[in-house]
Amino acid sequence: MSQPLLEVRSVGKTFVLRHQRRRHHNVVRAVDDISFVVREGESVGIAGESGSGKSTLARIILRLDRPTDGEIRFDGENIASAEGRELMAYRRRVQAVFQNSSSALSPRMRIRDIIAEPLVVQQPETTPGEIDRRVDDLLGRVGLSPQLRMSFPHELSGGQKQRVAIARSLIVNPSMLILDEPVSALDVSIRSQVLNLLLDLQAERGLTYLMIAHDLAILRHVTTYLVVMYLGRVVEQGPTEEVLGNPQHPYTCALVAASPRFERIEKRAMAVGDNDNTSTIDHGCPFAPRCPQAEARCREETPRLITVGEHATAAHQAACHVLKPAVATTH
Amino acid sequence: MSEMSSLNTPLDSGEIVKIVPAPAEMQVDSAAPRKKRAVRRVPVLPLLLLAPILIFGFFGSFLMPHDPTMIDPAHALQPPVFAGGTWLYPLGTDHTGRDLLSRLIDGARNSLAVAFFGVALAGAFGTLIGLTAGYFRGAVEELLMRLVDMQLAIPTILLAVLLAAVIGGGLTTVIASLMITFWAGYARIVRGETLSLMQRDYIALARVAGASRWRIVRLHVLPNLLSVVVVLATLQLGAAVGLEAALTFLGLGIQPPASAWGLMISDGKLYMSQAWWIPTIPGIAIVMTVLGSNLFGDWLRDRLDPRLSQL
Amino acid sequence: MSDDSLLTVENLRTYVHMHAGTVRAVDGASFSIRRGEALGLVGESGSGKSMTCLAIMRIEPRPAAVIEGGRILLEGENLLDKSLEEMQQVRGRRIGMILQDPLNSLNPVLTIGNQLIEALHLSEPGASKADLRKKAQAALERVGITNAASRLDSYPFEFSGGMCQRVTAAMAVSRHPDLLIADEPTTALDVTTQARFLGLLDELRRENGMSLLLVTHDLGIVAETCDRVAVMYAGRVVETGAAAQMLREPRHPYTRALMLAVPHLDGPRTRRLYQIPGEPPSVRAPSIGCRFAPRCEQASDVCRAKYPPTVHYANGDTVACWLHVPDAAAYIPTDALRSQRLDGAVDYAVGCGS
Repeated sequence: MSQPLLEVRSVGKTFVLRHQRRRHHNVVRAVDDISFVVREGESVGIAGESGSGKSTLARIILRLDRPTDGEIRFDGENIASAEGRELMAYRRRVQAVFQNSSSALSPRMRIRDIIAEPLVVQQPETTPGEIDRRVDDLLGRVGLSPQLRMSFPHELSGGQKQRVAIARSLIVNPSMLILDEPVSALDVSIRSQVLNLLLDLQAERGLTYLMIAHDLAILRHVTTYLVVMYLGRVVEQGPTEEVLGNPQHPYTCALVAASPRFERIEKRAMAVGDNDNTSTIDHGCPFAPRCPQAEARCREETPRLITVGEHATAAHQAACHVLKPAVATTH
Repeated sequence: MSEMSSLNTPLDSGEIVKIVPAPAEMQVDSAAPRKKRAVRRVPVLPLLLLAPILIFGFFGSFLMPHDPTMIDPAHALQPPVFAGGTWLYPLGTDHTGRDLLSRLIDGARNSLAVAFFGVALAGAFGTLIGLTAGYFRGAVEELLMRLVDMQLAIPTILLAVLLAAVIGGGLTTVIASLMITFWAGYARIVRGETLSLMQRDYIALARVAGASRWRIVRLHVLPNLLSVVVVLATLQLGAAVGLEAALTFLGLGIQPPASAWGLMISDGKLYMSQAWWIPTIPGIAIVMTVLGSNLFGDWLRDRLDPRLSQL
Repeated sequence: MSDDSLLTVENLRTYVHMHAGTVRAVDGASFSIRRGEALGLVGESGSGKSMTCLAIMRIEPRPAAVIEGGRILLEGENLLDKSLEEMQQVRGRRIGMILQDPLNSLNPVLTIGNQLIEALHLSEPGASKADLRKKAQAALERVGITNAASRLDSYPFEFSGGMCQRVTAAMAVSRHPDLLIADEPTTALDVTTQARFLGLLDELRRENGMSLLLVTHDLGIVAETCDRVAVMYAGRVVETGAAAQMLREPRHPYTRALMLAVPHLDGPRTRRLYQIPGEPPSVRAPSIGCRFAPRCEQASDVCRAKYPPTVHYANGDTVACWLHVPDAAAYIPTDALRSQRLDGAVDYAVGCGS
């Protein structure tokens, strides 16, 4: 098996909030012991609600923050500690598209400069003519008129802005894109345009995607492998169709059941409590306070990922004490 | 869901009871009164107030009918033309016979120059401090912000008096006082804006693109700070003129024989009952300048507000 | 008009007059809600769904927004005829409202208890403070907030988004209104919280025999929560019908296109989603004819020439689309092939054969 493109191993990120008055400091484990791989050409999804740590994870992978624990390897290289030229080489190969297109584009820069920026920064010797050519090329590729080149972001609609963001992310020909809720802020009828565009671009350029979203339907449409996060930990991961079609972890079940469908089903039977807690759990399963199946063991011991599911492929795993591990197949 | 695989809608889908034609289109009267809260394209009132001052300031040397420093006791205390005087001295003369209009114009040049330099220096310095504090955070921010707090706690006039005591009165003192007084206000506002700007996604994406710190500050932070700084500057211009007049009035600012509005007021205060125009006319000029620049700043702030441009 | 209709909106027009022009936020919308029914009002941004709710409550953002025409009948009375003082009797007592952003709906400097008590006080001006406090506690418990007694003294920032939204719901139903308007109440909430909240709305509705007007852009929510649906596009209602039926067999091409454009959690996985061509409609200068025509794959000349009439079916469904009008061509008078543009200029539409 070829080396995976991105390897995340036991990554953790702890924030210390200092309280001036109190003695003790609040320790928040935004991300705790996350491990998964992304192979070239794959689309991996990270599913989670607010507080799951998915955005923190994205920032860590993009080296906007450093992990406090664990390793991140891209193409074999450790990028958590990369600096200077190594970091720049990484930035050439991994780019990002964020959720809010309005705040993702600098309001006082023209579209052309916004799209060109990664190229200008990384390959400053590129001639202005070449830059223009590539900008126009990308504008056309994402379905925008080259005339928008000199416009400002506020003159564009939400869908257009998001296309600009995608164009920008592609100008240095990266291998992988981190997509953080790329369509959540768009109108429903525009979402399909952008999703189709992302899928087309992936097929054309052999891109690898890591997509973060809370909408399971969108993740199902785009990704082949899914990682479900809750309060900083992975609770379940596996091939997308399997995780969504045969969810094992109580949280994944709740998430799937709560997602709106078009068939009016008698769901809500598995109603879970609200996500009210604002502190992190030091030990035990993070979902235990809300889990209808929680036992005493769940509060004491943090569950580890075990292989689950009836048709157990080695890849479908969940971290839950209540589940029984599948009969071990050969690894 | 799989039944709906095509777009074609099923026709003949039920028993029709009635068909109601669409409501008539409603014409929109484009001549209808626009909302008053709309930001005007041209700020009429502020410009009206500021225009004379600015014209005097820039073209003063061509407009002065007389030499502002020339004393002419024979024509002392002449009233302005609208109060019984002649067109020779349109705004009258002061107690030494100097033409008020010429002094007003000359004073405008001085006051504006001083205010402009003072505000520009204060703005540059304050922006630098605020940006540094907001960008680097941590101990640097704490230190700088405490300096700002200390600065804001000291009363302006007191500071100016102290300064004058140390380096003497004059143009430099005034500019220095302005700079020391105003930089802290900028620093605070700029720090707040910087903090907020740093949260924006485009800053993160610039880092993802590989941009250096300096590039981010230069191309992403500063231009977006500019609108805030410019608005503050226009608002402070008026205050600066007022402050300069106050200092000059106290004898700490522009020194005679140079012309300044503050001097005109302090000279003229003794003649208030005999020749009210001597202190009053420069006073009106100060009010016009301060009011005009405040209104202009308000207009500019509304104009530059990015939210409004999306309406 | 059927007798069990609680609220009927007829040809409502709300225009927003702004410096750059007039926005036709709502431009002739009509729909009705029966007693005890949950109606989903679906549309994207710019469809006019939120402005419709504001108009019903008469809290449209004056002076820019003006209700230019139409009627809003609440049990037969036209709300647009009422004075603003009379509307105060309607708001809260007969119609309650929940808004989208839970953090903005509550006053951050007052405790939850105080805000609840304020709402309760309006319906029982004579009750004592202690009494009201007990009722407030009961209301919190009713919406599922644990430790209600101590939570009365909490501030909104100590609550999660879901809890705030439940408090808002408690306040909105505290006076047992006949109709509850919920404008995108779950858009800012997590999916699991959303599910719980919608379940709560459903319970409250059944308990109080209340009607619910749920505004959303999410067809999935509508499918699960609502009895009937009204779809809005460019300020008008293009289709109404029973939720389950309509989403299975939508009549209007826009509804159909929406269903195809949205990824589903069930059913086969499609490689590409349907892409609605074109851009969302302009609200300043709407096109002549059907407003969806520029983006509709089945549009014909008559669609582009004249806005379709509304077809009413026996079961109460409606649709505004030429495809469902028998003998559509007969509706174009031959000499009216020339149509007036909305800004007064005369335009010549292509004639259609019969």
